[in-house]
Amino acid sequence: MSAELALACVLGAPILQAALVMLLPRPPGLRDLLHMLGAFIAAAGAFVLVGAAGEQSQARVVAAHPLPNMDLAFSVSPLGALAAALICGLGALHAVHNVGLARASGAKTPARLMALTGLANAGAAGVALSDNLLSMFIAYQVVVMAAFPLVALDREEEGRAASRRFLSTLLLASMGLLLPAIVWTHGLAGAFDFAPGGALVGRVDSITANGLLVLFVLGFAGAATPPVHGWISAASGASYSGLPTLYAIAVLPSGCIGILKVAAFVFGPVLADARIAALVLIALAGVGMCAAALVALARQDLRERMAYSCMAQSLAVVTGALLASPAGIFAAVLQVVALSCAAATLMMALASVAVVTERHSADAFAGLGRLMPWTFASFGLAAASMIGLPPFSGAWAKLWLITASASAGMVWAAVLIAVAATLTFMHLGPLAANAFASRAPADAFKHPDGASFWLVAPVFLGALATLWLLVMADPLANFLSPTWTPEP
Amino acid sequence: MEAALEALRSYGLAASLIAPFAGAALVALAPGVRFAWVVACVAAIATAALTLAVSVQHLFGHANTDAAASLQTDGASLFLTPVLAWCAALILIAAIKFQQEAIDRATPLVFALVLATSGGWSLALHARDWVTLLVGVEIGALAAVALAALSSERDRGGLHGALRLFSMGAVASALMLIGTAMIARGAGVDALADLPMAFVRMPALVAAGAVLVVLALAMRAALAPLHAWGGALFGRGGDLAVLVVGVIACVGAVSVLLRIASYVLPAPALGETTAFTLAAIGVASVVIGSVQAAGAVSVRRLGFYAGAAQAGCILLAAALGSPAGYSAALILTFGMAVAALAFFAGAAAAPGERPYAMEAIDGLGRRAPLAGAAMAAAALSFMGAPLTIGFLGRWQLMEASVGADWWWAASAGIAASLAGVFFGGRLIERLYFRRIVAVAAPVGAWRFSLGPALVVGIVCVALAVAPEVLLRAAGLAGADLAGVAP
Amino acid sequence: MILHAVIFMVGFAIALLGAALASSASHALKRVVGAVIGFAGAALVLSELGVSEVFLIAASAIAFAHILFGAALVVRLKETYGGLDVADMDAADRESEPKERVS
Repeated sequence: MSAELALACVLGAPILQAALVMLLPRPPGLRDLLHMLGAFIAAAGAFVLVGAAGEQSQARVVAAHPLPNMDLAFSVSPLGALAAALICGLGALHAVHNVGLARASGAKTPARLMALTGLANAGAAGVALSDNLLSMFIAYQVVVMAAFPLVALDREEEGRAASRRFLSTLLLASMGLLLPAIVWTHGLAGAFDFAPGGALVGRVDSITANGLLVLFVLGFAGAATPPVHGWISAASGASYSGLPTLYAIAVLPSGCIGILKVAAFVFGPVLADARIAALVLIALAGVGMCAAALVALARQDLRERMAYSCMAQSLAVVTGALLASPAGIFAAVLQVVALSCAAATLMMALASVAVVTERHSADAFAGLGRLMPWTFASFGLAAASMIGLPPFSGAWAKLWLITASASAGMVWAAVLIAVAATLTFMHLGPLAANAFASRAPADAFKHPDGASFWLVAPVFLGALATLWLLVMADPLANFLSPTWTPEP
Repeated sequence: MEAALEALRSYGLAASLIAPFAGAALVALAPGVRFAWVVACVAAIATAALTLAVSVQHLFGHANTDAAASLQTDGASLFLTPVLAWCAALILIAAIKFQQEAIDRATPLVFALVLATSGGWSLALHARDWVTLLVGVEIGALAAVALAALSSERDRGGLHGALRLFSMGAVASALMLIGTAMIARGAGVDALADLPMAFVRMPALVAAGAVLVVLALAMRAALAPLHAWGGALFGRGGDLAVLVVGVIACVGAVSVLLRIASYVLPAPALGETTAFTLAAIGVASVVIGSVQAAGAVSVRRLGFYAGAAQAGCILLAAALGSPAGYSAALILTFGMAVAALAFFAGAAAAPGERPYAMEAIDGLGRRAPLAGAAMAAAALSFMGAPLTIGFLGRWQLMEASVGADWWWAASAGIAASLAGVFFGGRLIERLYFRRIVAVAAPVGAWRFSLGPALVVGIVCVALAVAPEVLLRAAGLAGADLAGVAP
Repeated sequence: MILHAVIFMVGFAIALLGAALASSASHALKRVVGAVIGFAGAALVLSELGVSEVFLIAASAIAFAHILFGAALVVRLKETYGGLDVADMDAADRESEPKERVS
């Protein structure tokens, strides 16, 4: 498969899948097959792209020419290919899980759910693979527009109100902050293009750099930097099947990846000129990280707890991206990988438990690990990664983050990251431990057969994914090095 | 072939302006409603095809032959007349759907009035002198009033809307008469094209006249806060009247305003006052229109107010007076026309006894997918979502504003998009995420006549995906308006 | 010179008075009368400015068309609403105005 074809598959297969699923909602078997097929084709394409990026391929696909001298274009870069592989790989697991969930729960609108998750994943992959700022903006809008119905799906009035809040937070931030930032950047750089080493190098003064950085970071409200984090709680009531898309695969990661790409390809060394804004934003992210982990601790509803937990993790990405060093960028990339793998596993596990046992709160999880060992073993692994326990993905990410913060002379930021990790341990650790340590409840299963293969397999594979950084950290550093190395 | 091209070059412009009026006369005399509809559609499509051919020939072929002494082409007329004419043709194709519900002796007259409205505004867009322009504007405006009155069979509120439209029209006419007379007298020239080069003897008189003309056309274009007349008509008027006024009359008035601005702005001692007036009305319209759209309780009023905000952006772009500004204004006007067409045609498919109520569109995306898609596309365009024509226009506006250091104008464009998030999101939520509450009345096969308007509306909104031809045409037309050789 | 300016100003004031009446009068007939007054003021201004004959003929035709349309509208409104009071029409329309559901 050529890199161009792989690019087309990554972006086109989920969209085609969405259209076909909506057109052919019956029979359910065909619908499910189409859904999984689309996700697997995209995942295969994304892994081909990783190979192509390793060989420094220059593949580029132009989808449209929406403005003069500007293409809606997507291209292969190490960071983009890695993020796309992450999104599409987890998207494939989520597609399988969706099929199991639709069958087990008798979902009212499974076709719409499948179509929307496909579109959101395509948008997130588009953000990762975008060739320029405007393409990234457009792909990000696709993520937002595809994800907001997921918040209201299968819910009544409260769902609609939540989806409005979700949409207004993300769209207002992107239209009111991100778009002006892009216009401003275009005015300064004369183009929208990303450039390894930073498109703004030598073109901005310190005041402009500070202003632009604030606009970009808050404009990507998907990353949930306070005060544009309102959507986190609004979306936490979404149906279980939509949660991985919102917090682990599409919305939250696309916000993080967007900030990472801007930090690496728009600012680069200019981040040092925006030191005041970066310090303020890192402080905001650090305090927000601890506050989110504390709020998660106070929540009994597991969806809310996981939502705030994910927010705490995404703010660690923001911190890494703003450290203005290659180590910070690398730490942030590792953190995105760790966050997505762990959060997707946790969310899918929660969904499996909820549909099989109809238990939704933290105190109702006691002893369930004895009845659903595979699911809870996976839950435990993912929780350990989220906390940052060695040897899981999260540990490497946290370690690099703390090291990068300390090297940048921001020991206080390293302390905040450590405090957030401890608070994450407090809200996830006892939950996983109790699931195995307590006595198994009687009559836990509402479904006599327990969780089906479709519900267990993706959760388990997701948990295994949290282990892969154990062996991949060094090769990954080499693979990503063009991200922070200016082109000769 | 050569002879046909030559004929088009010589008589095309005059024929394209005569065709709608000749068609209207034939339609008014035609026996039988359906026959009248067929004649009206043929006349409208012929007019649209002719205007498009003339525009392509003049814009891209650089032909420069005017057919009559009182007519003249320029960037605005060449770019926008085909837009108005094609919108009129699509509305007329859909018109049979509305008139099926209330066929009477006046129905053929209704079709004729649609042609007259479009013909009037096209004439104003091609006028060489002030008198022809006044006549064109009045034909277009009075035909719309008559149409609003005659389309009020289902709801008497439409007649009330016609009264408001008439009242505003009378005020605007008086102001425009005085304004044009002041310009003609103060500058000593009758032809619009002579104004930029004229020796202005009484600059204060001409500047005041220009302000009056701008105000009069702003009233007709429903620019906030001069749009109070629209509430009644867009709340309760007939579907056809809403489509014609919302798409042809308002867009026609904005187009004429843009055209006049291009002649007045470069004139000595007038430019500054006119630019200030245009910018002030533009900003007010963006702010007031956006706020009203966000709080609208009637779906068609929401479209009307969103159109007012969009028209405000057009004025801001025009006020720049640069080729980039005019090009942005032309793209924005095109976007306003097609989004309004898609929006009001989609809204016309809403069922129930009160199709204007917000509840009427609940679940419309599932009940009538094409109408729902058209309304959603229009809403996305109004909010300036990427890959829609609205985004392209706003982007052009921002680029032109930043280029002229008018950061506040770029901010107004962004503010319009931000407000658009509220009403656009609300609309899409109603279309796709609410249960159907309105009871659908039995509908006949004629409902399919709405199809072309909906499809064209959606396609044109999506033109922003590959807008090269549109941008090239707007660039050429914008350069012509700014008096710059392309 | 002063006389010309005075006539111009008087004509303009009459036009504005008519415009105000046409756009805000509480009675439909008064609105039409306002339009007539507005056009009369405009005619005064036009004659004072010494515009061409063609211009004057066009202006007269426009004014006449408006008066005709206004009269026809008033008749139709009287037949339909049973009165010409604009406030009553507003009230009648408001009675059946759609109410937004709280959401």
